[in-house]
Amino acid sequence: MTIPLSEGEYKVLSQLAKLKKTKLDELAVSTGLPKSSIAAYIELLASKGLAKIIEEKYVRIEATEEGRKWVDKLPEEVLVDILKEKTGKASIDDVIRDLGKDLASIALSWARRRGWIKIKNGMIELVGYTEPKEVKEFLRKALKGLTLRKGEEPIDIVKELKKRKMIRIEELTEKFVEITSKGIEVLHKPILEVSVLTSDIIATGKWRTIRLKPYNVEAEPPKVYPGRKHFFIEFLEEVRRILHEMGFTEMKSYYVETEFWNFDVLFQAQDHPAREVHDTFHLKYPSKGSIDAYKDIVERVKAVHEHGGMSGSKGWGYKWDPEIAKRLILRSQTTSASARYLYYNKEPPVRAYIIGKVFRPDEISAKRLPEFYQFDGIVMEENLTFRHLLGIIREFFTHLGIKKLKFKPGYFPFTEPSVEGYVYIDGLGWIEVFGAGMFRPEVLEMLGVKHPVAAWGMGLERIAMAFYGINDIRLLYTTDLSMLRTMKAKWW
Amino acid sequence: MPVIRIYKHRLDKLVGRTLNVEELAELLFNLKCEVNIVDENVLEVELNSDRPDMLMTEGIARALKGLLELELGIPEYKVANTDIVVYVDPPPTRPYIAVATIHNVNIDYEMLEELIQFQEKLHTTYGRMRRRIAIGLHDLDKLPSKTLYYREVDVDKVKFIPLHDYREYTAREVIENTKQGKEYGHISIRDNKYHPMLFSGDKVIAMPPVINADITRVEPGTKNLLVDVTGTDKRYVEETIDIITTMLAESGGQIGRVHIIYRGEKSSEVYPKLRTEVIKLNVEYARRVLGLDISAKDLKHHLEKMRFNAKIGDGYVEVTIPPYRVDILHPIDLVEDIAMSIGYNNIEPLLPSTMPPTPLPPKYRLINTLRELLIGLGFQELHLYMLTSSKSLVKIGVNEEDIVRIANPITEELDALRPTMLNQLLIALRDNQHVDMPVKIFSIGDVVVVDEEKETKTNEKTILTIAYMSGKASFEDLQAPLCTAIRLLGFEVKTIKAKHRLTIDGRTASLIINNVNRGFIGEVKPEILEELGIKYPVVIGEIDLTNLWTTPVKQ
Repeated sequence: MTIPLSEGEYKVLSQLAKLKKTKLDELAVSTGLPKSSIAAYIELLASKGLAKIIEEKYVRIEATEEGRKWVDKLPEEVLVDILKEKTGKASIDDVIRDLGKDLASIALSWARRRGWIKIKNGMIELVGYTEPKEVKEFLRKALKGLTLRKGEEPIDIVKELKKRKMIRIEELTEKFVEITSKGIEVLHKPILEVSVLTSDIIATGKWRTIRLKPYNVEAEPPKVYPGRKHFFIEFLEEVRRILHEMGFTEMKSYYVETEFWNFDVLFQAQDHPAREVHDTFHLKYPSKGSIDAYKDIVERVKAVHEHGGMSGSKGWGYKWDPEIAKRLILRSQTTSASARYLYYNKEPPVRAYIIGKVFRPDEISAKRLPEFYQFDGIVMEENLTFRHLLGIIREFFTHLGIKKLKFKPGYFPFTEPSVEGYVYIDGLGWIEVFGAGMFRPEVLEMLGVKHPVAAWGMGLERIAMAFYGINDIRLLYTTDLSMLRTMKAKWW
Repeated sequence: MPVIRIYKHRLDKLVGRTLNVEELAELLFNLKCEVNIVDENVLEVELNSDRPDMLMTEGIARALKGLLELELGIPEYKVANTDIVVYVDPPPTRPYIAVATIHNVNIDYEMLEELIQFQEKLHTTYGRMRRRIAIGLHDLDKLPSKTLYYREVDVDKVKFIPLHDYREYTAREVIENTKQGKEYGHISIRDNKYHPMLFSGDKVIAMPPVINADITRVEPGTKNLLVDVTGTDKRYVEETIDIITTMLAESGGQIGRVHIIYRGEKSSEVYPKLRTEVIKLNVEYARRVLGLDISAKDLKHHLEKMRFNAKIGDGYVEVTIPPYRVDILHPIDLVEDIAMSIGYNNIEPLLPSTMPPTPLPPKYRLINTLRELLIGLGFQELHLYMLTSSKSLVKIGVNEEDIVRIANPITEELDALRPTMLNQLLIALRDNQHVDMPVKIFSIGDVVVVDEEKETKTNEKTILTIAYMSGKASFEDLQAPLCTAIRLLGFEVKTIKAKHRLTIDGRTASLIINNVNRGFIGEVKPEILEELGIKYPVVIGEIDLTNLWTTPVKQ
């Protein structure tokens, strides 16, 4: 017979074999398992016919107030004492006078029933007396309360005392557990049922005598969370990977930048609205940087802004102020990196890019943030044309999986011809994503560059949002783990 | 970029053809404009800020007629002399003025609406919020006298009724008590006492750049206009009067010249000058920029479509620029117009010569590998703002002198550039106490600290900030994964006993990577957790990764 036992069942059953018949409480103590688990195991064992649950009935007997009062001498014994005093005879009236009517009536009734007295013509005569020891002994025991197996209690005494309201009786049922012969048999050759397969079970060979408990494999598993890369950073890294594949080199500018590199070198007049507080973060501390290291270019910047310098342009026609150029701001564009890079790399071929944070004083909303990533790229080649600019941008988007592009003439102070670019994204339609152009002759003159340069800049958030189907830009910065842990992995 | 509302039926009338909306949107797209259709008669047009000559239907129509080849080259404007004279005693704060008239413009309600819009848009863009230039429009026929005076006056000694008012104010009252005065009254006042004023005879007709007098108010039915432009820059004042007069003459009006005589009759000017400029556009230059094999004849045609006059010379095209095209600074600007005439989307993109792939810089190789390892160790990457609050930085013990602070923050919560990510990570932990534990997060990013030695007075670092939070979290829970990741990158790392303002003494260590102290890890002090409202123990660490990618690696 192979009836598999779980570890708990085995433990309980073997204990039961030692104790034979026992109460659940005792089993709990001797197995060290909680009483609730014991009850469950016993149910399981009983259902397998390995243990038997026996219910036994008991009576609990306790003396009442009335019982306590007469435990030394019953009322009829008091009557006997009175009669003895009066030489064995007394009239009913006398007895009633001595005992009171109620008590006298009880005492007379029980004395007569016990055959101690005779009553004739209103006279009571004592005829014999034997102390009712058994009744009184029982009553005394009942003072503390006593429990007897049902049917084992002295029926007559209990009946009498109950009738006389000297005891109260309560019936009880108690459960016992007993191992069955089948249980003893199974214990001799146990088959354990185990829920966790441990290394110990395998190493000791115990697995031969156990059975692995089946799981509810259809239940929902508990939640687990992998560590995950941030999706937007992954997108930025994908863009970076594409650019290196296309032969680009990284260039650098600074988060805190002088207006000189952010605006002046890019031919943005010093009273240009973009330089004002509505469009640029100015710094309270530190507030002024240095352009001392760039004396040659500072001179050219001044000349080009004021009258065009050697660039063939009219310039902006105002007095250029180096103090404004020294002011520090948070860079509002990464084109400053292109300018810095070209200043040091004047010979073609050049392919360089930057992906970096830029800052503008926009209120936080679903569409805009005061900081965003801009990607700027430049290409310099000896015979580079406007068509090449369009071509390289198209190639970049092809790598990103975007095929449809639309170009619109645009205006930027530092490029001409200038382009605003739209890409077509399924489900969203045309979205404006980049600005581009050929660097103006004024800009090239200031930087000291003799070859044509194609340049572009684009915010990466909008494209990333289109990719991930997000319509609130703030979600790119969420720290809400319940979202980050559960958002779908983009693999398609 | 400026957005204007225009009436389509006015545009159709001015162009002389009824255009369907799609056709119109496409044409305007090629003129740098984006069109939003409000209803069948009202369009919103977003323009680029380099074309003040298109801020009104008249200007848009002028450009469209060229593109549609209905008219080519520079329009002919009727110009005549007037007997109006302006005597100028230049106010030091706003020395320049130009005045001109337009006759037979027949202003109706819609045109007036557009005219006011044009004036406003020009003020905010080209006029630099009225500082550089400002425009005043007057009903010529209401002018009290044909003798005008432009000079500075004591603001307490001159009175007039401002436009759309009925009470008489002193100029000071206008500055102090009217909306316009409060907004623009500070621009040209001198010593809080003197302000430029334009008189017709002895009556004030304008207080530039603040407001006009009501006496010369323009209304529907006005037939003839007088325009004044004042400003701080002679070139822009002269360009603006050219832009306005040619714009208003587009619907058939006649431009009138006005004589300006400076104090003591030392010098004089006549406006508008309607000065045209000639640029020689080298054919080869245009070809080289565009990458198109285009003939001089085609160049000429495209330039004429863009409303320039063009004459073919030997290897060049002689281009005459109309007075209102103030955006043309250089021959390159003509090349762009040629490209626009061709249509950007008709120009075939061309691939430049290909370049071999470049390796990813060591910085990104290291960061990406570190990200991989930390993710493998179960940490979630976060993406955090670079702007943060100086208050929260000071609260966690960052020195004020290290913090880059913004003069014009949009909110106090974002008034600094982060020098650390510890505060941001702690806030992220505070906000994630409801999720299943443990919370394991990190972020790698740039931080900026003040550094007087640098040209930008700042220094940038790339750092890793990382934290572990759980019902039970101890030093080792972070020490183990962090040291493992750093060792797997090939660096030596040890933790030595240290102190940090955020973490518990005796449970804080410096991280020594290849013998350089690069940061710390430790269990956050309970008092800090309590202050932040974090109910779980937290282990946090921050290490400086800057130039770790140039550190030799143990193979």
